[in-house]
Amino acid sequence: MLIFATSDKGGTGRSVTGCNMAYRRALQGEAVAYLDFDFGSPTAGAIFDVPKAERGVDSCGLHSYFTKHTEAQQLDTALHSDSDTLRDLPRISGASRLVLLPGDRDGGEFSISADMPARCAQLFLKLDREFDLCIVDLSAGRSYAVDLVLEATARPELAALTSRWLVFHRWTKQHIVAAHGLVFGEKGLLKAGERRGHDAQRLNNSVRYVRTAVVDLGVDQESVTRPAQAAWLRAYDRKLREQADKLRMGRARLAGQIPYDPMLQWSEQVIDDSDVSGLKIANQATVQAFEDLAAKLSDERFWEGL
Amino acid sequence: MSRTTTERDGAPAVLAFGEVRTCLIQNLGTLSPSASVALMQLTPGAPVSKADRPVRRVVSPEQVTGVDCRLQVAREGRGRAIGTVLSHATVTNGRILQGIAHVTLTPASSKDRREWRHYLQRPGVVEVIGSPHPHNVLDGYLADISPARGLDLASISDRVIDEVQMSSRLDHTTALRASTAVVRWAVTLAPDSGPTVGIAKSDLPNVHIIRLSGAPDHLPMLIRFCEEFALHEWLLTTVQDVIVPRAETDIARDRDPLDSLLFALNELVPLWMPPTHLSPDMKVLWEVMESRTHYSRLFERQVARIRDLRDQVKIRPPRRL
Repeated sequence: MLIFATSDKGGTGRSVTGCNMAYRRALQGEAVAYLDFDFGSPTAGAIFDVPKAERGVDSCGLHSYFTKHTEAQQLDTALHSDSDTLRDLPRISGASRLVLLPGDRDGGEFSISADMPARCAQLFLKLDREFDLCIVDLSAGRSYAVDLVLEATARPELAALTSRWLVFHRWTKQHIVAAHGLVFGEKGLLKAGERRGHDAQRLNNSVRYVRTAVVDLGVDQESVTRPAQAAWLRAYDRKLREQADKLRMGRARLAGQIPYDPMLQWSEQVIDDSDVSGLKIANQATVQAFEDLAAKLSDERFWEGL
Repeated sequence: MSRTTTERDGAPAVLAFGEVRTCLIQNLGTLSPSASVALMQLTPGAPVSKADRPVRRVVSPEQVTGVDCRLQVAREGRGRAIGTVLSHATVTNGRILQGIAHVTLTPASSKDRREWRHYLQRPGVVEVIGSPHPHNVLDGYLADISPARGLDLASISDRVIDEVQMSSRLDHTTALRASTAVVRWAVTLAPDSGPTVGIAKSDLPNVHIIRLSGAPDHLPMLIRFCEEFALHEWLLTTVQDVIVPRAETDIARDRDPLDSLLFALNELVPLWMPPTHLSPDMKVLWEVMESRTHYSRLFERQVARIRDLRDQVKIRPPRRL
C-alpha cells in the first residue's frame, strides 16, 4: 500500500505525524518504507534521528534517484538511528522493519522530465515487493513532487497497488480553507490528477484528512484556566467543525486528530510508550492518536466509497 | 593489470566479476511456460533458451552494456576499465526472477582508449588500462558493496530486474513480500587451476560474497553455480526469515497464517533442486559448498517446521468445556 502525506502549509506536523504513524505500523509487524519526497528540505532524517541523513544524505538520496539516476539508498532505522525507540524495534516480538529512503542534502525542487514518472512507478513497484506499507512524505503545498506521484500512480503498472492520500492541516479556519483548496481548488489535487488520467471521483474517495495540533480541552486543562476561555474554545471548535463539514472535510473523512503536544512542538521525534509512562514528557493522548491513525490506514470500511 | 602471456586475439582474462539478484516475480499467479518465454524475450529476434527439467528455467538473451570507469582497487594501484558488460535474466518455474551481470577483465592492449568498435568485438570483456595487481582489483570489487562505485555491476543487474518487473505482461501484484537477495562473485582465472569456491556473508543483510577460482573453460559453469547458489540462498532465507516468523507471529496474534504457509509449500519448496546433475565439476563444487553450509539440511528443517505450523492451524484442538 502507498500512503501519500501532504499538506497545504508548512508547520502542520505532517512529517512528525507521518514518522510516528510509520513507527506504529512497524511495531504491529508491517515492513514500512518511509520516502522523503520533500525534495527542497528533507526533514525525515532528523525526526528519525539518523545523523547521516539529518538534512538529507550526501549522495544516493531520492533527489539524485530522479535527477542523476543513482540508486536510492535505504537506511534501516534500527541500524542508523540514534533514537533508542527505533534501535529497540527489532527486539520487540512481532515487530518488523522501518526503513528510511532519505532525500539529498542539497536537493531543491526540480521540474519533471519525461522519464521521471516511469522511474517513480518503478521505485514504488520495487518497494511494494518488499514492504507492506510505503509512506511518501510530500512537501507542503502544490509541488512538482505531487505532480510526479499523480503521474506515476496513473500508470497501468501501478493499477494493482492501493494508493491513499492523507491531507494534514492545523485546526484553524485558515488551515481548513487552505487544505480544501489543496484538494478541490483550480490547481488542486483532483484537477491535477484528472489531467493525468485519474478518475476525480475515485481519487477523491482515496483522500482523508488529519487534523493536527488540536487543543483538546480534556487533556490541556492546565492551559485553559478560566471558564470563559473554555466556553469560547468550545464554541469556536463547534464553528470549525461546521466549516469542515460544509467543505466535505468532516467526520466521515477524518482519518485522525492529533492533539497539541508541547513535547512535539519543541522536539519533532518518534515517541513511544516509555515517553508517556516512564519519562512522562509526552501525553498519552498523543501516542493514542498516532496509534488510532495507524490503525485507520488499513481499516477497509473507513476507506470505502462515501 | 600485469600480463602473463599474450595471444593474438587479445590478452587472456585473469579475473571475472559478476552479481546476481534474486526475487519473486511481481505477479499473483505462476507464469505459464509460454508467458515465461515471452517475458524473457528482452531482445527482439534473439533466442530465449529454456530447460524443462528438473525445474522449468527460461533464460533471456545476453544484453550488452558499455562501460568506461575507474576500478575500485584495494590497497594500492589504479586502473581504468573500458569495454562491455553482459547481463541476462532468468525465470525459474514461472515464479523466481534473477538478474545477472557479469564481465571478464583482461590487460589492455594499449595505453589509450580505443574506438568502441574494438571493444565490441569481444562482448563481456573489459580491458584494464594501468597495472594494478589482480588481487587488489578483486578485493576492491568484493569489499566495496554500496553505494556503487567503480565497475557497477550492481546497477546493471538491478536494471535487468526492474525492466522485467515493469513488463506489461505482469499484473504487478505482490504474491509474497520478501527481500531481493544479492550475490556478488569474483573468479580468479588461471589456465590449469581446478574449480574452487569460498562463500562469505557480508555485513549487509541479504548480501553474500563468493570467491571462486578455475580455468577459463570453467567460467560458464562457475557463473551457473553462482546463479544456483543465489536461488537456493534466497529460498532458504525467505522460508527462514519471512514465512516461518510471520506464521508464528500470526498464530500468536490469532491471525490466519495459512496463505503464506501454503504458498511456501506449493510454490517455493519444489524449487529446491541442487544443480548436481549438470556436470561432475558442478557436483563437486556444490558438495563442497554443502559440506560447509549444510543448506539442504537447514532447508529441510524449515520445511518440516512449516508443515508443523500448517498442521497446528488445521487441527485445532477441541476446546475444553
